[in-house]
Amino acid sequence: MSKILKTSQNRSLLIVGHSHSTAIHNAASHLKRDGIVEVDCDIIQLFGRYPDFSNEENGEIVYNTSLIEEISKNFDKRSTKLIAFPLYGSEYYMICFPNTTRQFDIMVPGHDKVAKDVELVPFEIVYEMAREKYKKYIGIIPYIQNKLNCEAVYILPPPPTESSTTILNHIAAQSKDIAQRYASLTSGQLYNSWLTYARAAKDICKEQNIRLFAPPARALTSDGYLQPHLVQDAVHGNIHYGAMVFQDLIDHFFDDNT
Amino acid sequence: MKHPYETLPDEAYWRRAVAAPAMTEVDPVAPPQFRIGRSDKVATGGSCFAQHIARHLVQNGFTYLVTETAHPIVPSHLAERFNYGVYTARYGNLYTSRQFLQLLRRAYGFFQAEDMIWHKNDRFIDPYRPQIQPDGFSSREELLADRAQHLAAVRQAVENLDVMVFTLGLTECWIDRASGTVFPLCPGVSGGEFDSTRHVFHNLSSTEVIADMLEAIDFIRYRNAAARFVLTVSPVPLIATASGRPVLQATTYSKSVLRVAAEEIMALRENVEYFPSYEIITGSYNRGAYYGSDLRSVREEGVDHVMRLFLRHFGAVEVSRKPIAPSLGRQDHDSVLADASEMVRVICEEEALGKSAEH
Repeated sequence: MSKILKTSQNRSLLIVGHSHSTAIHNAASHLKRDGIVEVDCDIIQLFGRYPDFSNEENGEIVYNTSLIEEISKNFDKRSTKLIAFPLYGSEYYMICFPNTTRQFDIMVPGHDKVAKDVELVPFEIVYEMAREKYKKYIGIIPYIQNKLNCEAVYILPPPPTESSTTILNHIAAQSKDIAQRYASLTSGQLYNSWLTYARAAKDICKEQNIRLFAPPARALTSDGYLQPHLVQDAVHGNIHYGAMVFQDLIDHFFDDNT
Repeated sequence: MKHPYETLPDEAYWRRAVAAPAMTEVDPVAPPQFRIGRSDKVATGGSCFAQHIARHLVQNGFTYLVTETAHPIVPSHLAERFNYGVYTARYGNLYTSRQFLQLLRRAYGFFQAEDMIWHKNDRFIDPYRPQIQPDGFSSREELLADRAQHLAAVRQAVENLDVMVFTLGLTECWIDRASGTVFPLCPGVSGGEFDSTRHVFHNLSSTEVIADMLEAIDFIRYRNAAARFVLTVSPVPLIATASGRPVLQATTYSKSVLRVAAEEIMALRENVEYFPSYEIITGSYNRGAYYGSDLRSVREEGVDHVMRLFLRHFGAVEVSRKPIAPSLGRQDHDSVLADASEMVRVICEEEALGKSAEH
């Protein structure tokens, strides 16, 4: 981290989310252990434990009561200042590798770079898919905010790496078949998918008055990809990226942080 | 010597063919020149009534040709909302023969009006298929790219279809004076802006419909010599007319022109058949029972009768008849309203005219 961060009060950050939580939590733990910050960081990892924490019942969205209890207990345990929700975030990546040979791209408004000779899926469709996926999950943020009377924010996942090789190597580690099928896939296709999902998340947050933390500008290349030294794999940021997000959070929410 | 009427079959006599049989048993279909096999690739197009044909073909195991399918990542409810699979390609309703011909010509680069884009608020509407996306396209670039992709799918359909079922819907249309482009909807109704110096109303004559359709058939056969055609006329009345005539008269004119055209086209080209969905729905034998309470929408029972006969005569398939509510009829509004939910959902740009006028 470029600057030393401390807080005068021993306050706590709680991270509730999926795989993108890990980098932020690991960074926060390191910084605390090394005495660089005094902010405690707890994590409730949803992946595996709460695979589907939000359901629609009689037209209303209800949240998993065990999860709500766990968040409440964690909140009460320390004087938690902030709950950050890096919910889901890799859907944009997963839809780029469907079980088909039909590669696609999306022409995002204001960003009309698309791969040549691949099928275009209308932006509005993918945007709707993203909205449908995120809407019921992101709604947990204002729910928790009201229930616990605390600050809560949504953390947008980082964009992909610009390196198509890194992406394909990551895929090959999971499945050689898929890697072969998508050998010509470009990082641009993933980026357009990320942009579409990011736009849906931003719009939902705006509609529900939720504060959204976008990936730090300094973490991105001039074309908007994740900087190479911040890349964990094709879809996740590494601990250095996590530290940047963490720094942004404490800059905004924790006073006396120098 | 016997006079000719003495040897005519039952189907030639009104009482025996129309008045006497039970409503659901009336069968006005002449033996077709060809059959449709289950492996024949059937393309569909035309006015909104044509949508029923695709649905029933799929349900009965026929090969419905779709060359512009939704990408597999798209869930089915969104694919439906964005009009994938409604027709063979995502062209929306082709109400007029001129629209159909221009689509074919545009697909092969013979009709250039590609800068044609409408706006609605900050959205971009494709005037050739104004309701293909619920809220239009996000950008001009995306619209043009999607249009190019769509026209490629039209070419693929032209070159691969075995049978094209085309439903003639309307004769009234709006034309862009400068380019000659025919729109499915009047500019300004669902995007764009109406300009009386630029947009002109035209009511196609039977001569024009015949010429358009013959050119369209020849155009397809030039690229796909074995293509066969089934023509139908939509029984759905006009929702509104700009002809200056009362809508009932305008509807009669329009449907009469299309019916005459279909007959003449069939006589002028081999392997073109007429299928009487118009007669099955509008025939007096059913006393209006196949129309919904708006006297315009076709009830599922009517579609069922049409498709039962279509499959019998073209597919050699007997489909069992669905039971009909005993109280069918236009007098019984309660039961018709109760059955409204059974009405088939069809995507109809023309509906926008009604909505536009009501507001």
